[in-house]
Amino acid sequence: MNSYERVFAVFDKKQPDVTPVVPIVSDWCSVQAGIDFVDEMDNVEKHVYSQSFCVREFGYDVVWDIGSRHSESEAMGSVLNITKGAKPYVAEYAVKDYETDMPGLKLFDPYCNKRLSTYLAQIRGLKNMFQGQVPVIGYVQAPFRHAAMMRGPENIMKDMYRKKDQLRALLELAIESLVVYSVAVISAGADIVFMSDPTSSGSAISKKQFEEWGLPYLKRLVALIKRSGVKTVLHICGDTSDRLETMAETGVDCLSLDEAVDFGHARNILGPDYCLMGNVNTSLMAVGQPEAVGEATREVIKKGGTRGNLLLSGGCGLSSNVPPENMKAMIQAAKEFRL
Amino acid sequence: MGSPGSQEEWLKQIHDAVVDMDEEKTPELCREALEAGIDAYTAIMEGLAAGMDKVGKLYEQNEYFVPELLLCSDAMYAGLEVLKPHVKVDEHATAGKIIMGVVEGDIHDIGKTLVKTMFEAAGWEIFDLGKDVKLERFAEELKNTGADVVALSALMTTSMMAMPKVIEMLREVNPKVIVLVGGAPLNEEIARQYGADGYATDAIQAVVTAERLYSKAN
Repeated sequence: MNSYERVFAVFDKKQPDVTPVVPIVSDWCSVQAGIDFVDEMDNVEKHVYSQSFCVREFGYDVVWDIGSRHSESEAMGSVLNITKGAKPYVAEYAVKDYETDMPGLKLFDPYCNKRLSTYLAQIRGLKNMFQGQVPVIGYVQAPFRHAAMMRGPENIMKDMYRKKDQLRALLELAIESLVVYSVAVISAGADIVFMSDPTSSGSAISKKQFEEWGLPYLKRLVALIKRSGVKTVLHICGDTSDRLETMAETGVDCLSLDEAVDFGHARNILGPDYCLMGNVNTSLMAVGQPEAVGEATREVIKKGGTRGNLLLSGGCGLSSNVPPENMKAMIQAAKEFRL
Repeated sequence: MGSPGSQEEWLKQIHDAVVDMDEEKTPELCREALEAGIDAYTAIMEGLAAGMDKVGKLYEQNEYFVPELLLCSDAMYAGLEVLKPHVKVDEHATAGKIIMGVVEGDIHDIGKTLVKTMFEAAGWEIFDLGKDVKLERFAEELKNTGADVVALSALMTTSMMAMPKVIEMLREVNPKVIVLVGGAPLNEEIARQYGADGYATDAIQAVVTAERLYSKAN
């Protein structure tokens, strides 16, 4: 099986030859390829090189677009702080005051917006290179996350109590703009749409709050994306043990879980056939020895992947300082684990 | 709202207003308590801080999450604004001075914000360096303030891995300074390896740990 066949065997509930390895990697690839991640945000060839170099060099099973860079929120007015050598973050939010700022929010045109069109071209470039060989993942923010990146995570949390109507209006706008962007990502050739929603973590909001402010919008977005035929994955960082059913209710094809969630528990809740992604400890990946990484990988597969329903990954994005030996150890352990 | 009679009743109402996230009622009660002759420092420690203590417990019990913590903090700060100017000069908290910041490269600061609130409620003097704090700044600030505790926060492993360097620099300024570390990628073992004096899993434990180490040293 090639990587594409292997990954889709898991999605389609057929037996993969071995557990696919799907690390969440962006600036880690940049480091391996000798490129500054910030340069990849403006340059199609550099990003395509960074992803293709790594997948060929290491032999895992996916390539990614630029990933989680709050792109849709930036395109609607939030301002990123971009410094070479550091990870970009939102420095200024588009909606500081609902009354003054909401009316002026403009819907982006993903094909004309400089940033988004670059990211779409990167997807196209990777798809041209790897079609049918290695699946291409396109990243889309979850609606609650997008709203949080337009409004500020602390503000949005207070809005859940103090400004409910305004928050609902913002979330409507968020999901509508994400539909526009998702269509573009799919059209550019993404085989899989990966959504993350760190702001809905168990470390952040309650299950009830996620059910009210996260779930309904995700459900709508996922339902639409699925009609295009691509596969969908939802990742929420941190401990989400108490809301796994709710996350599954979004309708995604696969849940990507943090190391904080015990895979045994996840299997109990979601069942043996549910597609999981994750969840090797990311601190271990960064600071541990390769033998320990191999051992941890085997543990994860034992707990959650013996029936071939697992996309092996870290519990979250891998940091840029993960030693290449550790990536190799994870991949080797997955390859050698007989399903 | 009926006027509480005894000091105990006043303090309970202030405590409850904080727990109820009431940003209007809390300072209002504080003003009225002052008028009724309640000592400002007592109102802070046994009204506001006690309220945040309860909030902390609700957070540990997974009844309150970050939204509630933020709103309770707002209520507490509103009350603090009213009471602080009235604290008698000779009353001072037996709490120390603490420097806190999110290590260079990292901008995740909700955790630090919550830790700050708890230390504020407990009466510590806080020097908040913010987020993405250059490594040298921590030692610089220690030199300038003579703080008793330095608290380092990181959510990303890359920032976490800069902590040993920061701790080395801090010990050059004051070998006895108490260093606390916290953040998702850390654990007790890593904290020990790094040379930290303490590690806490959440904001409440941070205060508990700091106060334990501080009283041990003083």
